[in-house]
Amino acid sequence: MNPKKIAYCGLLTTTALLLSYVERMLAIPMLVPGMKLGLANVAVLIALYLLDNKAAFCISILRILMSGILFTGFASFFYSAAGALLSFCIMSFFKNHFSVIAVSISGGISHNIGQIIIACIVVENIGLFYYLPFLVILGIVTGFLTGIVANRTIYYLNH
Amino acid sequence: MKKKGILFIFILLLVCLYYIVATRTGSASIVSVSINGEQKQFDLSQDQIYTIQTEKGYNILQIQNRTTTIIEADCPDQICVQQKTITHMGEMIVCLPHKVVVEIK
Repeated sequence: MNPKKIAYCGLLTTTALLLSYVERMLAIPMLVPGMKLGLANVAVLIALYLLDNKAAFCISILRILMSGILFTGFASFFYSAAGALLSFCIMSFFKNHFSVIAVSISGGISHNIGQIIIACIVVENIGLFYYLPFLVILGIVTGFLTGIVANRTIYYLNH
Repeated sequence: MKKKGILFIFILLLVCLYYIVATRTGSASIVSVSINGEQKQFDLSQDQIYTIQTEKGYNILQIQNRTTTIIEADCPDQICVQQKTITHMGEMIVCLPHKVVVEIK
């Protein structure tokens, strides 16, 4: 690991943390309970493309841990962790096959699916999958938006 | 590759929209409350206010004019209180911290 990469990792982790803080302050009309924009995914996407899978994974986990401790508390920690893990697996798998925006969309969808699975386990009610179509649509929309941002950022960082 | 991706996402969108529209039909009559996996049922046509008592706190459920809502709760995120009233088949209100699911059946 060279110093440049370490610096990048630190910067991206901070950016991810900041973005999740900004997101908490943004008042988004709630179409589905607990919906979020997923801005922090921009930082993970950048790490995935500019660094490597390992760095992106670390940034994602660190972001979840730190925002859990700082902002949200441990109640929502498992939901975010499950979403982040699943979306990371899907995104790193799709990384070499699709464009940034498509990877971001797949990440958005799988993040929501991961959270639903944990929620089902917590409330012991499989009926929560009622929310799945809403969340898939939301995942597509938010994934598309964050994908555009990440795509532009990666383009400018490379040039 | 790009066209395939767009087509796939488009199909996914359509399936989701169809599912949402299709599950909204049907006549509902029961409010089913699940607390930590245990079921309790109420009549949707009978106006009443019921306090759901859980190990972690309470949620006050209101049934009025065939609609259901949670008017008060002591959960940390208050997401269940902010949710709109539910009236159609399959709609639900969830309070994750208290493990409460209110569903119209």
